[in-house]
Amino acid sequence: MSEGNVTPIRPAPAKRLLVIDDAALVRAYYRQALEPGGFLVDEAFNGIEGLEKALISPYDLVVVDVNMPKMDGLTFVHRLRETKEIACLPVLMTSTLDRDRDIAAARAAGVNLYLVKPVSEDDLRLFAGIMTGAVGE
Amino acid sequence: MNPLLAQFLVEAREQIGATTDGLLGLERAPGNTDLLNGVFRSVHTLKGSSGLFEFPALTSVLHAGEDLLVALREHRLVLDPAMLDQVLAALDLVSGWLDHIDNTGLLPDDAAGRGTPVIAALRAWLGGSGLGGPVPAAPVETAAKGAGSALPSWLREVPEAVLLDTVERAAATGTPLLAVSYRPETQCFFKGDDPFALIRQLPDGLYLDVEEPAAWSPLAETDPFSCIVGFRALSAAPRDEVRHLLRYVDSQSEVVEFEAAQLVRFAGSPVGDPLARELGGALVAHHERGDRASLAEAAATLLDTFDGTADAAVLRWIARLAPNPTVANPVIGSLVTAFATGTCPAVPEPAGPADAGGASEAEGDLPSPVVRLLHEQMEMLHSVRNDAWIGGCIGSAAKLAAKALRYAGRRADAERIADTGEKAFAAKDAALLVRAIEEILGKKPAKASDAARPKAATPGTSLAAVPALHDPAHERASTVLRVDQSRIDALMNLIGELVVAKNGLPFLARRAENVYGSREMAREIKEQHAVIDRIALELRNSIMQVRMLPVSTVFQRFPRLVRDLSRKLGKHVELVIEGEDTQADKTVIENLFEPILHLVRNSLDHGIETDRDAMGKPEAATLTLSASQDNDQVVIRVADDGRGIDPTAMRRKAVEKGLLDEEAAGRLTDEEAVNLIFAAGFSTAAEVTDVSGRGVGMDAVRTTIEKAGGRVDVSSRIGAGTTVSLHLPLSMAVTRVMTLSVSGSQFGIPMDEIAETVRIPRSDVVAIKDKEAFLLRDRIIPLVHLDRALSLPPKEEAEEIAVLVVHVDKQPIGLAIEAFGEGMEVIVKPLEGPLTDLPDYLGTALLGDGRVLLVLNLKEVLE
Repeated sequence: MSEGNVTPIRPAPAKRLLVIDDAALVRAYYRQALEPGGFLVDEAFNGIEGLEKALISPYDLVVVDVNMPKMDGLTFVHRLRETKEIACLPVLMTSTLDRDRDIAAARAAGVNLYLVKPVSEDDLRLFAGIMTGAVGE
Repeated sequence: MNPLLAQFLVEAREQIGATTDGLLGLERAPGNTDLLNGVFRSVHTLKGSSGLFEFPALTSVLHAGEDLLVALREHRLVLDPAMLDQVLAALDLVSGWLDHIDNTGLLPDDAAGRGTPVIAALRAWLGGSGLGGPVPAAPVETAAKGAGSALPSWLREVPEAVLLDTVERAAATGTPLLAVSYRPETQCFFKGDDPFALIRQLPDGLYLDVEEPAAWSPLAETDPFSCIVGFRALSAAPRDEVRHLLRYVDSQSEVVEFEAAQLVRFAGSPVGDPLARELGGALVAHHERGDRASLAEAAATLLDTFDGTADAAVLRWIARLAPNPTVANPVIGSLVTAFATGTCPAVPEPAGPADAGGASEAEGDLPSPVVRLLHEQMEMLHSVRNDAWIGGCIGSAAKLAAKALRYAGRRADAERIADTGEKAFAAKDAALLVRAIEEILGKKPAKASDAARPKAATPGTSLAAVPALHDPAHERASTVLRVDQSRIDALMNLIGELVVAKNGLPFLARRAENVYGSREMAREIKEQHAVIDRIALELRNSIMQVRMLPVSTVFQRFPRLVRDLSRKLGKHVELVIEGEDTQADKTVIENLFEPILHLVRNSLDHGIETDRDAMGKPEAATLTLSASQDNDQVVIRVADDGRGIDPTAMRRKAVEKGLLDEEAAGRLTDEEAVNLIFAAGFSTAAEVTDVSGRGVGMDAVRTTIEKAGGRVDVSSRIGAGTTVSLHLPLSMAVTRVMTLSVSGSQFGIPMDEIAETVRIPRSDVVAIKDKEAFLLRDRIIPLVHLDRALSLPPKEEAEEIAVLVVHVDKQPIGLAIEAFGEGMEVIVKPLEGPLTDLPDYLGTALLGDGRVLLVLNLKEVLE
């Protein structure tokens, strides 16, 4: 594996995030939390649109919700991990589901970090920063 | 309905109630973090559970509310009345939706449309425009915050002796230590938490201390039901085990991992004696030779010289740790160097990771978000079962782990992980990567921490001294059962039927004797009747207990209403609620809201003055809602300290309205005059406001309460306030009635209204004008012939008249009837269909012999 050919690290300092959530409010919240931190935020409103966008543009991190129409978050992560070009994309999942088995299901799907909603803006920026390498690289 | 949804609705209503109460409490005490946390939790839980169903609009509104509360919690916003109005409006909307879901299983069609402006209103507060808007924190700050969670500051308060013990034990296993701080929520006991039992179960505990509140409040003011202390503990167990134990109190606890060497701490004045530099040479020599025994001895000898300084503390550590072969050489080495060079750090600063006397970079503390991320990657690699995506999982995990390590400044480790990650990716071997991450986290694959278990009590509270009890309370399910109201109602109806059926037995006994001629059989039936009677009574009482609700279910709606109304009217009103624990039957409680609402509105609108200052009254008016039990009645009082009712004005108004003539009005006592407000059609709001400030729909109140078998009283003092009392039966389900016959028909009259039964000779009846009356114990009582009042064909009158003395509006009235019947318990069912409008009857009841009894509404009959 080499980072160079799987998801190229962009020379620009700005890290690209894809936020997938059916609730426009949630997407707006992420945008509001992350854009001031210098992230470029793209939005998708369900898993299918998310996969399409991820295949087209290189992202440093995908932030995805669980409950979504058409294709939910877990299915999205399954597909992502199966798809060679984008398999190694880090995934941050956020959801109000906070039971152990929800979290276990997310891990088994290949979610790198699961945060139970509500995710504070600080946490979001902190983890997005670490996970994209925006801080420390 | 889906049982899960039904459960959701029940809980959602409770949470909305709790939220409303909390918000109103917050308005009075804006700084109360417990209230705020409670409100936040309710909304959060509600939102979370709403997510289980397809109610996107509902969840979104709650989400917006929740975000606002988060901002309040984080002090980014301050609660103000206008904001509260919007949050309450949002709750109202949600409440309405819940009702709709209850009825149809779905959100209303316009939910999304109606939700959007509410959400926008809530979001506007978060928008960042104007004051108090959220200021996005700079990423740098965030990073610093993340990295700052090194050693908790409370470790500085741990006695050195405990630290020495801990370090020595931890050195034996080489595992990192965990500093656990657990601050239970104040209200945790109500959630069934047992914080002390929980923290006692901490695996491999080394130290436990209680974190006291900053200041103890006086004993009398301390609430024993709130948890005001926290716990601090040290553990040598693996982080996962500790996190598992604390999984339900995750947000209330903090677990920080650190190396044992970081605990090495030097008490005393920070700058050592220059003499130490020279004497230190000997220690260095011992250390370099690896002669631990001599090193310890030398350190102990030097201790006398340097008593009380930081140097002495170093020597204590050396003397203690050197003889222990399990303590790693570098640790001892750094101690010796510290002494010899005089670079004893004073006390580790809480903000930054402590440099434990020159520990290498690899042993330094990782920031907790990094540790968390690394753990998450391991967890994920452990859980992934599907070969199709294991590669992607390994790849992303390796990438993240490397980034996290770079973030922590561990570039070498980051490279190592990246290399291992590539190998693991190629071989699809997740375990390879997991091992690499474990090594970096300083975790041995084999669990050796058992050896670290403390053996004896230490100066701190040793965990070993308090055996970890498995507390069954954590598993104990709630013994409260939620039952649908309709089931209780069905049961109550059945019991009612049973009571009625039971009433058939005396009838049967009579038949046995009269028709079948068996006196013996009649006696046995009567005996059996007595038994069934007793059981039926107990059964009824038990089920009535089930149906009993506290008055608080009605009263709790008022803080919100009073707040809204008084804000609207621009009056400052303190609502005082008393006796909300008083219980009454569900039907009674359900009938209370409307009348109380009427009374409260009247008080606020008309009773409470706008110019209280001028009257010398406190600016804040007091409105009191109280409930109490008086024998088998529940008494609700609505009292204000407003202007009161002017009896003179009432008399004048009554005359103007043509209700009374001048003379009759003049004869009224003040109390009677005040009670005129209950007269039907006495007035409408606009007209009354200038008279007394009372009267809106008071007759409606009276009608409702009387329909429920109760009565209404009012008392008032000019300028001092008005009190309206509602007296209601505790239960309405079963009514005791007395049967009587008039013109050959049988009727029932509620026993409550009957004062006594008398027989008077015809001659004692005197005619007063066209009315009749009789004398009973020196009191003139008007006599009404019930047959005439009911427009029944009159019967020939006997020489002795049976008279039922009843109280109507506190006035005794004699009812001339044909014959008295018997007292019995019946269920009065209201008239239905076309009969609803017959005002003379309260309803019907089924008798034991199958006949239908009409129960009279005396007040209407006598009008």
